[in-house]
Amino acid sequence: MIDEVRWERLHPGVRKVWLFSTVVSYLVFLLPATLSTYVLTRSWVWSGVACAGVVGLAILSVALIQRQYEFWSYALRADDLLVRKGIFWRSVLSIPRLRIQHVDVHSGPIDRSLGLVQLSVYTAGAPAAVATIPGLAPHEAESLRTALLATATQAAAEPPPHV
Amino acid sequence: MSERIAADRWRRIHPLTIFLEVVRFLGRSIWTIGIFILIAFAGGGGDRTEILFTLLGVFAVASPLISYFTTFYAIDGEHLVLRTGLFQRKLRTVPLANIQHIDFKRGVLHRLFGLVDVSVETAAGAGSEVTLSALTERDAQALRTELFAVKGAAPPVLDDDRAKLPGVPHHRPITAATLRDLIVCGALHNHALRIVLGFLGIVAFGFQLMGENQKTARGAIGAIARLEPTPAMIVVTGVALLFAGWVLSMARNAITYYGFGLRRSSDRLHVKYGLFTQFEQTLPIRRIQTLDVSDTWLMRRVGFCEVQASSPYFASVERSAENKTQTGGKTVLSPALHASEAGRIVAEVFPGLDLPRITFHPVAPIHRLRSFNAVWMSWTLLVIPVAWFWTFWAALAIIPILLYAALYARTAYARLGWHLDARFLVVRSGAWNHLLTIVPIGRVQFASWDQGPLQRRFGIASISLLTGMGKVEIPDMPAEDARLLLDDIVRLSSATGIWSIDGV
Repeated sequence: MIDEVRWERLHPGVRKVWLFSTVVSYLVFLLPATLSTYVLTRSWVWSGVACAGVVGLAILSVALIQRQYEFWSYALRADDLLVRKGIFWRSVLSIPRLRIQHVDVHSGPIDRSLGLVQLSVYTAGAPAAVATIPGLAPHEAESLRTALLATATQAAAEPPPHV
Repeated sequence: MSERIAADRWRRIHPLTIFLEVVRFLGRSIWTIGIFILIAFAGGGGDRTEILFTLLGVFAVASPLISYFTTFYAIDGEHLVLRTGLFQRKLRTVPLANIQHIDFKRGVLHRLFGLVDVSVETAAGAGSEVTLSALTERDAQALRTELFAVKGAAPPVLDDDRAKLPGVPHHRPITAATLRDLIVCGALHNHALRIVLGFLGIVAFGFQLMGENQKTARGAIGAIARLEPTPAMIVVTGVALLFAGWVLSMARNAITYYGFGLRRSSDRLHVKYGLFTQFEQTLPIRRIQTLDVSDTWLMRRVGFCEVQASSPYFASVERSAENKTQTGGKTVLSPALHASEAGRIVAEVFPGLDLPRITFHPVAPIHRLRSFNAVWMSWTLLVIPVAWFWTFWAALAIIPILLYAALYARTAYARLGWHLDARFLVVRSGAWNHLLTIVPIGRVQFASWDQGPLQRRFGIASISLLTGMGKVEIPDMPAEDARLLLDDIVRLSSATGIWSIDGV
């Protein structure tokens, strides 16, 4: 069964989204980190070290984006949606189609500027989205959504066997 | 919605609720009132104390009065509708099909007047339940029958006399806990710490009150210091404290679960217990997400275990504060069960699951090493601060830590196992405190296969799955087996369909 899986990659543009959000989040972190080190140590040397540390982490994160992109994939099978991700901590998430409660398609400003959307899948029992697939072209998201919802609607339309 | 419901179909809660609410409010603010009284006696406060008392009294009476005159409920076709609020009117509509759980609660006063607090739980999350406080016994029974009479489901019959009538599905007793069993299980815990903390609390509070009178406080401390406790006194006090803690624990267990009984009618479980405050819970079997059979090392020595069912309802804040044993979405199906009975109870709830005959698959042997490492590392971390002062003793402590970790890893590995058939996933775990989790496969919402960097080196992975009520994990399986198990779980879960059949 595993061998039959046809993994789909994300849209290459998603790397730009990740790049942007990584850079922004490290920039937000940079100033407070440097300043608080200066306040604590009163030394420009240590502040420089802190600053360099943050920049180093940022460079590392940016370097890992390509790897992350390579590992990120999803697959729609007969019974479930598979989502595979992670560089160091790898995971394969399997969501049975019948358990999907609703599907969200949404996009932030960066997504929109690149013409991408994200798709979130919700099941019962979980407080937040079970899985979010970033970086989909709108037509891909639409067909995925239709496919996922078709199963759910079809199943719900069948009368319960027992009652 | 309210326009559709004729005025005469709205029902009211019982007028005595006002009285019960006032008593409940006073009970809850007993500390505040106590402090006011003490201040008044101490001569402080003056006129302001009276004003505060008046305000407190007005509030205690006004709020229940308003809520009595503005609370209505009705059953409108397939919905239970609750109307509350004086200025901002609120309508809460609960589809009958979504009801998870109906609880009856009777406090001592309730029982004096023949009243019941009814709470109707849905899966929609905390704060979404409908609480009707209080109804007469007859109204409550009638409401429960109506609420559960959805789409051809057999109506529950709760009156024992009516159950004897022919043609009426009656409640079959499954298990009960005798007073002796409850006391034995209570004796396995010791509430000595609770007594000490309570005592310290009272002392601290007393000193705070005497804060102005420094002399008295100093005198009290001096008196304690002058006692000059001898070793014999310390031992006697310690033993007395342990004994009292033990008695308290037994009494608490016996009072909370007094008269515990579990019964089944067609597709529902009914639980009833309590000496003073009585709980009565009704749980549709097909809403059960997982069934837990657990025991501690001590419980096993005397041959007992505990069974709990999780269903997706969220205990209201009030209840979990009053009764700590009733937190989350767990319903106790037996607080003191003879271990030999566990298989029978499980088969009653999930027919077709023969617990004693199940064979469990072990996980990868490398799991022993991983849990050995996890245990000794966490204990060593605890010892490090000690090493700062007593390096030699801390170093010596490493030996028992390593021995303990080895024993733990061996025991836990021998116990850890999983079993999957067409309808159930069963996971067995725990080294000293055993836990057996049974998940009906149709309850699985999603499953995941996870592998950390170290796990990848050993070629193993963990499987975790989420039901409507929390997570179940199988750690450290061979990676490829884990992938196959993931596929099996999803395939079987899909085959069950979205409709739960016959309680499973």
